[in-house]
Amino acid sequence: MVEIAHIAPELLSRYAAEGLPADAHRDLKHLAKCATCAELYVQLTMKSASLRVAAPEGLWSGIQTHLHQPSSSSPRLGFAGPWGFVLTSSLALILVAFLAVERWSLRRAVPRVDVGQYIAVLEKTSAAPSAANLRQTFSASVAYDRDAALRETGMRAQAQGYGLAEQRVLHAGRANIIQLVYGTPQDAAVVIVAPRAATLSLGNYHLVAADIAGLHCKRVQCPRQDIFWSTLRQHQYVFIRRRNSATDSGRLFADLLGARDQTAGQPTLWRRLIGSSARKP
Amino acid sequence: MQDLFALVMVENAAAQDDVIESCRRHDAAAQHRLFLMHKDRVYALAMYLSKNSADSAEIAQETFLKVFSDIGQFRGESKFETWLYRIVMNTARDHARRSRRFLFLDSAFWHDQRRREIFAAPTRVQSDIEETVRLAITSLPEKFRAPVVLRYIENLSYEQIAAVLNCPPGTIAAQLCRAHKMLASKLANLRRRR
Repeated sequence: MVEIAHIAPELLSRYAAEGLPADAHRDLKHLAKCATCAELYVQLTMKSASLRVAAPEGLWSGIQTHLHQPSSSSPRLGFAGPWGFVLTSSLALILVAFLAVERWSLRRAVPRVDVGQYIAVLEKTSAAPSAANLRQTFSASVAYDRDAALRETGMRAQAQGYGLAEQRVLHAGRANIIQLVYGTPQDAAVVIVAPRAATLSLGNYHLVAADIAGLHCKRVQCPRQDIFWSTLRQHQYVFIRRRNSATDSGRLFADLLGARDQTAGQPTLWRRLIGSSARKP
Repeated sequence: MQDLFALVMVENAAAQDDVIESCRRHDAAAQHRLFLMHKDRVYALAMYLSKNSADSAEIAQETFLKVFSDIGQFRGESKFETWLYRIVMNTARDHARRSRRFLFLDSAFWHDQRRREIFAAPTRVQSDIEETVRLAITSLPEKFRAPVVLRYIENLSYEQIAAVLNCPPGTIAAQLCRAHKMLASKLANLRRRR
């Protein structure tokens, strides 16, 4: 056990007041190692010195200038204080409510077509699709211009003896849902054309993948009707025809979409569709 | 006499509480009063933590602006001075980070021409011992300087220093122990009679 010989407090006090003699090497060395003597010496020295500093005169005027300036350099979000919290929270709630309403109205703006309802009518009555039962089911639909209907839908006016007999439109917001009735003296088929963004309901019928003349589409599994659903570019097409052995409904649908024009060398709707996005309904 | 001193302390504390309450309402007169109460200690602290007088004035100014804008956040859970010192420390750090020259006072500073301007207050008597002490303190590494300044310039207890610097009192004790040895050695060397 080594006993540490501290510097006497009186001596430390004298050192603090007058400074260390030039020959006090031993005490100098001791101060650098001994925490007790170092602390006492520091305390005594600090006491003898006045370390306070006076703030410059112009400090307050600088602060005042900043206090009266509009806080443009560092804008703060929200407000200060408890009322600020209430205000900020209220604004946040209003914003959330506004966004919710906006989203709801956007949803409402998306047109919705209940094709399933029409299919159910046909199945129940065992009737073939016709202009009469179409009008009855979609009572809000109105007659539409023939050229406009063909232009907007890109459908052909005639194929395999089936000619466009009637065209009607359902106005759903800014979107048009066009119904085309094709017919022969013995038969009829209906094509419902809706915008791609529209929601099409096909009821509870099952859908299976189908391929008609290279066009990938969906077939609605229905006992009495041939129903195909295809999404091409900006439109969805639903083809409905009472099933019979005389005509291939798939082929007719393809022809109405313009498949026969492939050989004519003209860029028809069908060719454009097949070449690009005609992959997924 | 002791009772009278205690009474004055209580009255001062109550007065400060009133001033703080008025500052919360952005009362300009109260803000000035609060500034007068604490300007010297804020400036002194900034002086020992920054490089020069211009920086210390900026730090002091920023500190008071922060105090006035954030005084609503002071809930009286600690002493106002503790909260104030913490703001000075943080402001000094931010200031140094911004200017990318976080150099604490070096010995050359005290021989700078600005020294006259900084310590030219008529009430102050320049003496060798004061200059030596400042030199010794400012030559300490940053992590030892802050506790020394708070302990010997602001007369804070270890617990109060720990609260300001946001670390355990044991750490402060260890830092001060090392600082004492370094400081004693520097002071003794600087004050050796030739």
